[in-house]
Amino acid sequence: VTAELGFGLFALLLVGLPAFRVVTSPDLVRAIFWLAGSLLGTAVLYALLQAPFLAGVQVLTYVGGVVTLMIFGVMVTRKHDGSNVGVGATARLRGAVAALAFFGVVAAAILRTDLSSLTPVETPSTQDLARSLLDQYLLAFEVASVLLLAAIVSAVVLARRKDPAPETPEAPEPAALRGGSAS
Amino acid sequence: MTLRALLLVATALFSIGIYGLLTRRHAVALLLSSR
Repeated sequence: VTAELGFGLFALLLVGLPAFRVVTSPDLVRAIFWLAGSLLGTAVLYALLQAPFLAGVQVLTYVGGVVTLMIFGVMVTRKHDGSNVGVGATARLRGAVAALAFFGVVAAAILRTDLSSLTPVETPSTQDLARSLLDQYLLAFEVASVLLLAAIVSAVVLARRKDPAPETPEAPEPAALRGGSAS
Repeated sequence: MTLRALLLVATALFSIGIYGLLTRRHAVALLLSSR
């Protein structure tokens, strides 16, 4: 029980607190940095649970990829105007009630369910995973990469702006025809 | 670490996400908007 309490406290500090700051921070950029902290905390939890491969993938994919993409999305593609987004008290109350209700229902279901019948499986090592990906499931691995490539190409085609129409020679201003007295 | 504790942590995180989705809808819209 002590170990579980310690783990819960650790998870709260590493993941829960940054996650809460993500949804309460008024500045979008700060919220994204808190999200990076939360994802890093998740990676630490994975490492603590003897899943180093998952921890590495978590850091590479989420912290390195997704968070960087979000930062670019907010700071580069848009004129960064602070993007401060305040929240009203009613919305906060409504959100808190819904979140607590959801947590209560699911936590009660988890606590009442008998999980002792589930036997833990043997944890595969990183070497086992690599062998599976590049030997037994090589075809599925490559098909997945082709699918991702198709998604990237599709995103580029969809996001590309239409080429501007060829410029037509502008009609002369009436003022210019009259001798340009305005200048 | 038991599965139960991990499931409870995951549920707590999901609840925080629900709170964020309900209170920060305009921020989500801002992130998803093209301009």
